[in-house]
Amino acid sequence: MNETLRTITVVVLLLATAINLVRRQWAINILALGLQYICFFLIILDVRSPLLAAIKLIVGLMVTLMLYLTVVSSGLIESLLRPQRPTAGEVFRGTIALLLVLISFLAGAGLQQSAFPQSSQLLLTASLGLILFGLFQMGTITEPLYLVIGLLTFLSGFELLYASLEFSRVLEALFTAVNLSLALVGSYFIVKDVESRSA
Amino acid sequence: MNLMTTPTIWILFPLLLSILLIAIHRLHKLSIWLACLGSLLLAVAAFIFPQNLDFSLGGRNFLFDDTFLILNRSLTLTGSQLRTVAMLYLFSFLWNIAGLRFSVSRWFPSISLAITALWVSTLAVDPFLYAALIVELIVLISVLLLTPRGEQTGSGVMRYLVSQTIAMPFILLSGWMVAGIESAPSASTLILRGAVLILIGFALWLAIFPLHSWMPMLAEKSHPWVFSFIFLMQQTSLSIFLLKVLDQFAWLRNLAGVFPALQWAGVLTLLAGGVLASLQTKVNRILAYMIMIETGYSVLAIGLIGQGGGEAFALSLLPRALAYWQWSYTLSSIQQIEPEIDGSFTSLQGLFARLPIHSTSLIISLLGLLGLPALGLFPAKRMLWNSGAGLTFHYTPLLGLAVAGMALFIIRLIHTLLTTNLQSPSHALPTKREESVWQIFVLCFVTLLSLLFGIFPHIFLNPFLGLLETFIHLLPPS
Repeated sequence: MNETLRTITVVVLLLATAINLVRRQWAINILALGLQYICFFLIILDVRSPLLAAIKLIVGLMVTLMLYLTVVSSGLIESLLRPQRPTAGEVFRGTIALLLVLISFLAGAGLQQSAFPQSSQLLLTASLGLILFGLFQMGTITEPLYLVIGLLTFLSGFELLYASLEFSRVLEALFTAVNLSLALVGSYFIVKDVESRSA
Repeated sequence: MNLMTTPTIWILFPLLLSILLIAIHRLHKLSIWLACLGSLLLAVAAFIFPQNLDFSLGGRNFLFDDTFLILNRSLTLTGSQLRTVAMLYLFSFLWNIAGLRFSVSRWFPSISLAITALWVSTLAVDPFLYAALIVELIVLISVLLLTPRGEQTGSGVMRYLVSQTIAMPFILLSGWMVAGIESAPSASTLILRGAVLILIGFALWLAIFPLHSWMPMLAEKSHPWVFSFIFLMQQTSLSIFLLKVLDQFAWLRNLAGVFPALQWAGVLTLLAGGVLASLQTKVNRILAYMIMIETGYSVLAIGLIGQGGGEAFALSLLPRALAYWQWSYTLSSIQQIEPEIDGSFTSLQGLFARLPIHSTSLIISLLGLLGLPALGLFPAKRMLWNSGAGLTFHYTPLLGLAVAGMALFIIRLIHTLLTTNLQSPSHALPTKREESVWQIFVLCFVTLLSLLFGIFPHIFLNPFLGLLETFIHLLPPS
């Protein structure tokens, strides 16, 4: 993949992550999560063989599907086309998202020089962006779906960084198990929330 | 693949058993009995297994290997580690055997066994950094037990999940950063970064002050029986894991400032726990502060490893577990006998008149954790107080404040249990003894055990000093 395409992939990845942070519409969020995993796959191809990268993609899409099915079965999903005016919270989170993207692009080079010389700058930008967005989402949201999306985003960011540093099959297997378990726990939280609301 | 290995017995077998228990979880009693039997057998087997792993049965010799290889990585359980394994399975047995009485989740037997096996695997996995992901898996499994049925997911459990997930990258990155730098000078920036990352990771895992905010929130919403089991296992295993990391890596233990940092972290955590406990008005939350205080003592003991802290740490493991068991058993039993008790001080007023043995048991378990002479934890705490005071005078007032905070809470609780409020709804209950003979026997037996541990530590607790034999670099054999 040439440099321009890689840059576009990183931008789309951060855009999808930003949508998850800013917008509070379940259908859009789950679509953005799926897009996030596709971009993640394209970026991780730089440091992993296509087969191993495909495993990450499949796991990511399975996680997305699990969350989608849970949300659909809970009956809380809303139409994608439902018009919704931006709220003050969304404007605030949008501003934060811009700031986080800026930080990710600016800090990528410094991070490469000081700590991770073997990782490419674009990969570090994507990884840092995912970690920062994930942390911000985890720190500000208590709704289960968004918390799980935040955790998955944070984990993806770290997986991306770690993939550029070290390779181990056991580690890959454990990361897969953690991602799938996280999606299961997220689905469990969502179902519990729905049950307690209807009780 | 060689299956005649110690990890096969104490990691793979219990994991398979827990999968079987998941399949039969609807047969609750059967699954509890199987979990009890499995845990007890594994604990006894680990305790009596020969250190050289050469096992004789019916005139035949079976030589077990201590390493199980999986995808070029290894799980290693040496003969000297088996005592730790025995202790962890003993805890699993103790919590399962009494779990039958309380309305905890149907998944408790299977999950508790899986959690124990996974904690054993964190102590066995090589390289150590993979333990970070195993801990994350344990956390993800634990949250299923920590969220009560029919209630919305509390923010405590979410914060717990977030905090433990954030810890994982710190440990993984530190492992990568310091791989193969044994020969670097101790002032190397990489070593310093690696050490800071490891310590932050452990601080997040162990809920060291000020990273503890989720713990009381979680304790308030979870069943005391489940909470005490999960955090006893976490506290014990992570403390032993920290000792293992310090023992394994010379660059870490030789770095100036690591042990003083651990001492300060321990003292500040137990100070925060003591002060915050003194202000509490809900007994459910107290378990979290007790765990925090005990984590503080454990970290202080590791920080004082060269001044007798190791012995204090080993001596405290069993009495601490017993005190948690007694507290959570008593509290769960009280809430089962009188479901209207919500854990607040108001609802506990005058409880002594109705449930005298339960009330006394609550107080005794707290006094045990405080370190009262003649109770189980006194020998370990006395060693730590002396070692801390002998090292620097800074620790003494802070330790004193922490103990005073805990003592203040106990006095307030005694006052509440003895005072009857005429306006309290629980006062309207008929004053009759609802404690069964069996409950009285169990509570008296545990109290007696705690007394025996405190009065005869050389008989009951000295065998636990054998847990330290694994750490040959940190505590060289004399």
